[in-house]
Amino acid sequence: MTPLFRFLFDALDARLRLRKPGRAVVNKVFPKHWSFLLGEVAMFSFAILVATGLFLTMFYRPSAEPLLYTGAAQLYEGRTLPAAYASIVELSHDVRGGLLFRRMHRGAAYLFMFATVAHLLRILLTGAFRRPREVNTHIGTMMLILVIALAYTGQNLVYDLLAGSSLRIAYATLASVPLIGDWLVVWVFGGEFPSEVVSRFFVLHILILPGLLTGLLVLHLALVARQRHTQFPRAGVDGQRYVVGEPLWPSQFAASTTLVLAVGGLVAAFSVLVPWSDVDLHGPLRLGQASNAGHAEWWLFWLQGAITIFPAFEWEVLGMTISHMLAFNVVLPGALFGLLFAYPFLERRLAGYDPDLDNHVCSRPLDVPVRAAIVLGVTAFVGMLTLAMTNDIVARGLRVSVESVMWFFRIAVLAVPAVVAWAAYARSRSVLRRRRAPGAAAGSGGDAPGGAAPANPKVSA
Amino acid sequence: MSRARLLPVAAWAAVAVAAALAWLAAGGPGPAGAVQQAPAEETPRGDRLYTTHCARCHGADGRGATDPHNRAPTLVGMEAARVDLVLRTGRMPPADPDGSGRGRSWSDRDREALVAHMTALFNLEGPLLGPEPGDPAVGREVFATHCAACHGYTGDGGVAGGGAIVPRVVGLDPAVIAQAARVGPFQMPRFAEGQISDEELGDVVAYLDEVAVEQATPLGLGELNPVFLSAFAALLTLAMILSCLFLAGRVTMFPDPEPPPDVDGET
Repeated sequence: MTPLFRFLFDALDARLRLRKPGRAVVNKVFPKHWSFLLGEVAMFSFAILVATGLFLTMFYRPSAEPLLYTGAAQLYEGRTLPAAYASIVELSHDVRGGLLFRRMHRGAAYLFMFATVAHLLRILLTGAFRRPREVNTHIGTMMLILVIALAYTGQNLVYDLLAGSSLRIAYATLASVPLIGDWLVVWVFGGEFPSEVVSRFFVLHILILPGLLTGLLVLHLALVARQRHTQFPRAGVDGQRYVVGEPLWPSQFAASTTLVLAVGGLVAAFSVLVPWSDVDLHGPLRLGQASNAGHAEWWLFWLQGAITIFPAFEWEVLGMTISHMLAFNVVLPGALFGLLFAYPFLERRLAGYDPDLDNHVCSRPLDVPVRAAIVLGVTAFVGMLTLAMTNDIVARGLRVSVESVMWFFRIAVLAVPAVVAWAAYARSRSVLRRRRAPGAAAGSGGDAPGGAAPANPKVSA
Repeated sequence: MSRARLLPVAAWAAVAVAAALAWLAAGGPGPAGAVQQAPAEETPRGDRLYTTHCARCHGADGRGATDPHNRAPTLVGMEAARVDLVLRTGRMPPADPDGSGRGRSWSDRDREALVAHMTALFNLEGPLLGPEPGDPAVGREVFATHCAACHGYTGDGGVAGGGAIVPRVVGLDPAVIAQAARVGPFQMPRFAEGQISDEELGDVVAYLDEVAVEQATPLGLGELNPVFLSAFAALLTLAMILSCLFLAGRVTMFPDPEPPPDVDGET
């Protein structure tokens, strides 16, 4: 410790009594595994989003009022644009560093989305959601919903041609809900479509959703600290009783600092090289203009993919209209998130755990056959729907008809997940059989907590 | 004013009116060189090219074939712009026997000779268009209104209604863009002058020129379709996972159950 730091710490300690709680914090143990860093990547992406977002907010105009643009962008110089889009053009062409900040904001958002989903998959596959961590799993799932809502509102604040398509789909989706659809539309979009939506999405995007997300993040981390970290099974370690890993200071602090720099550096480097938020050629949202190149953002491909490949339908049932919009954009994601919330309890029922037992040791991904089949099968389903979104690009690239690509995906979307689930189940069973065979290494069964003998003398609660 | 002094004024006025009428007759206001009447001239070169490449399906008289398996249309009275467009885009003669695919790419000299020859032979109608680039800002709006629904907002092509594969329109000759809009080849609708004026065609050409040279990053990438963009997002996440693997020390997917050499750390 440097003398200056020691002086400051002593002075603060004399007033705030930091030494004792401080010691507990810096000695907090972090088990070492690459997948335990995914959550941190998500957190650091969020930090970049907040920082760049603050900058962008200063220049953004949350309005669809027509505005005369005068600036350096030749395609728009002297033209009247919706104010929101005009401010995006200004940010890209007239504000120093604006384009880099816009691209970094989008790059960090992509990374945030990915890291959140990868973190979720890690939790699901390793069984870290089991008792006593069901509450934190549910908090995490709610955070994923907030991340999706943030990404969706942010993407439409740009108010470009793509936002037009995306808002129309959201409008149709809300309107497709039986009985309350019309009210939902008014509630979300306000009066006139789509000009009212900008100011509403703006408040959601910069204030309400990030506020909720920050609150849940604090709760999420508090619960991780309170419940200690899970760890992978190791021979000779009783993971049920103590954690083996590295302390926060200095090891984990150094690793996390490096990770902050890696996340920031990668997002910045990619943002210099990839124009993923450039919208000069898209043009502003104008009703009546649309483009067939208007795909959803990649993290919504799975929903648009389902709409794209399956046939459209509309049934009248008991005076309500049941449409494909409702089936694929409301029921499908609703079912997926319902499954996510229910899964910790569902698996306990299916795999027959002792409901009163706490689990602090992770399983490896194939340790529980039912889990491997469900998680990998559903992941494959969402993955195939995502790929199905590329049907027009595939058709052009391979010079085959769109119809045949569509039929390929119709079959693949149902067949591939079934095959994946079956293969995962079979493989998991054979792994378990081999491990239980006499002579196999003991003490690795994550689904049999407390199996290994506590042979290590360094034991603490 | 005396009659003697009025005469030169009237004479000059008559000249001015005549010039204005001549100018209007020649096509009125518009981008210079926008419209040129298709030249009609039978030449040995045109004759040789037609006989070699076209006559097998379209017949020596240009009336198409009577054979039901041959779908070649009659060329008599067709728009010169359509013939020129089909040759410019390499659609004729077809690469595949069923009439699909891109075949030969013609030299300007051959194409001009062939079009002139066919114009003389089959009374091809109408002018050949070759607009001068106009204002890209206007062009972007015209493109977004009339073209982007099928060709994509960056002119990259795509898939339109009925599964029609729509070609990329960036980097094409101005004449191709203008003639395609006026003629409406294959499944493409035809745009009359009331919908897109000659001047606006030039603006669209200027816009597409701008798209062709657009380079937003050192990699030379322009604006990306979300599908291609997702590949770069995947690349970013891959780099991030590699960083995590690197930071976690050992590059192993999952730890093996063997005991580590030393167990350290505690709560």
